[in-house]
Amino acid sequence: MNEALIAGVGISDFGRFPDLTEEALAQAAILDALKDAGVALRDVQAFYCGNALGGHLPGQRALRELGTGGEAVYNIDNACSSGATAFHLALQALSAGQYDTVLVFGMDHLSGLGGGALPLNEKDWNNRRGMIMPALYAMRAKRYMHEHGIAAEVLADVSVKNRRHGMLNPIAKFCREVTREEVLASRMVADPLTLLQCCPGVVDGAAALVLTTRPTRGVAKPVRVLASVVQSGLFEIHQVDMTEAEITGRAARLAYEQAGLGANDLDLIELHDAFTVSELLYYEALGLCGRGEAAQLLASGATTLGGRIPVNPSGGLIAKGHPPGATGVAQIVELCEQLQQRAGKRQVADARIGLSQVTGGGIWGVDHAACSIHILSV
Amino acid sequence: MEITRYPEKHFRNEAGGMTLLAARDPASGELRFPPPEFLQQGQAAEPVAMGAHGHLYTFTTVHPGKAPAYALGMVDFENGLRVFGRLVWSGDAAPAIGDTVRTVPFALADGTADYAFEPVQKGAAA
Repeated sequence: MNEALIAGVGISDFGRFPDLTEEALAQAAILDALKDAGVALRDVQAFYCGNALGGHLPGQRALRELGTGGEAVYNIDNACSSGATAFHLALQALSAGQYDTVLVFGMDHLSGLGGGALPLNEKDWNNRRGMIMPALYAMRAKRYMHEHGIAAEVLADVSVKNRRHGMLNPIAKFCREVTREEVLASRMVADPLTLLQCCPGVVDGAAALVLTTRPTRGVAKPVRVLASVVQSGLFEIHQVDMTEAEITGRAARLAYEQAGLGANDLDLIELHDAFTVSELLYYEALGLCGRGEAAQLLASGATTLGGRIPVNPSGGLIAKGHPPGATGVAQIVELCEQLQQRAGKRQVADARIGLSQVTGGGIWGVDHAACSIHILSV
Repeated sequence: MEITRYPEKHFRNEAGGMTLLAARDPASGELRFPPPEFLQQGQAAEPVAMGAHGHLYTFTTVHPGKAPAYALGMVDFENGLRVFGRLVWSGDAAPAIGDTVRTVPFALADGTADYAFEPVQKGAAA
């Protein structure tokens, strides 16, 4: 069995496109990925679609006008981990020999949802009592700041860094550069998180990948997948440490074991910075630094472009936005472009190994319902 | 299929005030809050009072834009459980991590009777 490789990538612009649909955005990403891979649509044997908010049969809706031949379409909803989970399942099918060429895509169109925090299940115990995702992370932030003596300015600096990165990313259409003062002065969403510390609530986008076990003939060198992990949250009703991103730490350990490497071997990371505090907690969960040391790591410049381990060179969710079905695939697109040395002005010098991390939550009793981590290399 | 709806409520009003009711598995002694909605295959659970007071582990105030702000918190009880709920702080008083809180009646947005947490004033009988 040949190794499954990423042969081509495609991504739409990420921005506010109320006159477009998620299907149109996905088609753009899919056509780009096929062209990049040098693969014809008729050679794709199955399609894996990550989508969280689009309703029934999203994959078929996106594909029907492209002229596909009735191949299997798998629709995967794992909240914000939908796209990464779709990628994971596609790899499984290739590894099992079920297919030799498949296409993974993720998409969501938030312009049609009216803005604000991502909609959650209204029957959920916590959500009935006012929980929204910014509030959950605000509570984590409040506790983290309390335990480690972290100032609000540290949180703001994550937003400043990622939006600075995003300004170098041509698809991040909604991004603008901000100062620490602007971040802190923006409207309070959930204390201590201000508006500019949250990923923008209304951004549309799609991303796509072509995977194959066949010899590749793409535009760029194919990318290897050293680790692919999906984990689910534990049922926790006791007094656990909310500043420990347990599921991310667990998934990272599994991924590092699969890949046979550790955090020190990584050249870049794309992680789930839906809120500024998330990035700090994930520095620690991914092993970039010890508990309580994330502020120092950020301040050192290590996670900025040009630093030792750039985090979110794409701008992350804070700069690009977060159409949840697309996010996991978009992270992998960014890693591929970086590892293929074609990331333009945001290129991480000599990048050879990258990690993506995405979570998915919104239900009570579970510290993130889902987490997916991938490690890629060339 | 053997599914039974758990018959107990998740709070009780007593002379001394409201108390939350956890559910205990009589076989394992394990506690949980909120109680299970359903019991499977003969599973048993019994209500256990959570105790009068808890301590605020963390909190936030949500500012929904045009709607009024509201506060949320995670409260730790002596039985080892952590409970999420609304916070009702009066006037200009602000919550702080570690505050002692008690359970008080509160109505959900749809009018359903529920609970919230309010601070126990320093010097008040605990």
